[in-house]
Amino acid sequence: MSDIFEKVKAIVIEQLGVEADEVRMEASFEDLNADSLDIVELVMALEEEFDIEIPDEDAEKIKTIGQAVDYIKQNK
Amino acid sequence: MKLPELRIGHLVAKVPIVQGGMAIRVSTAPLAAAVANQGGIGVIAITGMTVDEIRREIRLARQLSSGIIGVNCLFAAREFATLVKTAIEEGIDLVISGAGFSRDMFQWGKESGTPIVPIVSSARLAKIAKKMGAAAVVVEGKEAGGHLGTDESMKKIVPEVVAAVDLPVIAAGGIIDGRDIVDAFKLGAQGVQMATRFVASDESGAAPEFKEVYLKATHDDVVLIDSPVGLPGRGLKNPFWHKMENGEDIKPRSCNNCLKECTRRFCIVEALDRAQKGDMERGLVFSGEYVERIKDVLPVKTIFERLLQEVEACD
Repeated sequence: MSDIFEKVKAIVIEQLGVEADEVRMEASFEDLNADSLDIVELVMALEEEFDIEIPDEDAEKIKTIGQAVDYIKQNK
Repeated sequence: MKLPELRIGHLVAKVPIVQGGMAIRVSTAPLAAAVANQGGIGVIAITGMTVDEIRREIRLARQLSSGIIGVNCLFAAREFATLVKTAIEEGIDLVISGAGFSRDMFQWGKESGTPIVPIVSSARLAKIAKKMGAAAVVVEGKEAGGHLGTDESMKKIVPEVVAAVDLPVIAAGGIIDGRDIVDAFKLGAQGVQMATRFVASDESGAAPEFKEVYLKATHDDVVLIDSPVGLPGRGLKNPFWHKMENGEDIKPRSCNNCLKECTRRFCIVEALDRAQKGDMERGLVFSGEYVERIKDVLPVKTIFERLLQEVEACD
């Protein structure tokens, strides 16, 4: 597994208070019980961690952990 | 009590009353300008408008008033970015937005020097707004009309937000008279946003039939509906609502994908548009919780005079 995944996983665990084994590539934020505010905070934390900017339009398309990891890989 | 000025970024409103944005086309240039002329902040609701219409409305409002004019746009609108950027290009004084949370708009505000005022319903979102660079926040409770982000009272949320962030807090939801304004200020608000009261004004874009429904409304008429936007919305019972309640087929015949996400149970734009035009059978009438307290349709000037007299009479 990539380094990016591990970092995303750590942020998701911290932000959403979920267990490590729940954070899999295919898990959606909905599965992880994230509400709309959780997602805003999560996106902001990812921007900070990876020093990228995720516009609204792109953020709205990120529904799963895997999509977040792929987005960061492509835009970092 | 004497009301203080409301400062939002570089803007100073003499009267700390913001007129809430009301789509579709209930708050357009004439209403916004009338409010601005009284020293408040007039707001054009641009959701559901075309780019050309936004430009026309803003230019018309500028002809009618030299006061502060803002726009309100629903973040859930697919064309949100285009609509808000158009308003900024036209030199709008401030941008208010709710029903979701845009982070991009803060960047547009920074680039153009336009204060950005998100509508929030929790201290948590207010903190995020502060971090993003909001100039103020509108704190809307469940008493408000239209789309809602909470089931909690404004009176509970406002003090929480005031304690959480160092930003001007504009209280919204259920404010009808001067006493309500004073109460909101006592909770720490620095301004209020009122919408329902201004529907029943001479200058609002609502059809006479729409205003008539407001004057006749009782507490039992006020209901929550499931908006296709994915949020609850507060409005009034009418034949359209009964159809919804009875599970009748009210699905849209056509759709132009105007929302980023939509349940397509019915077309919210069409339903609100019908109401604005006076179709009280097939239109959806949004309204705040305390509409029953509104007894007359008045010029905006008279509404302001009364509110300020009522405020003055309070301790």
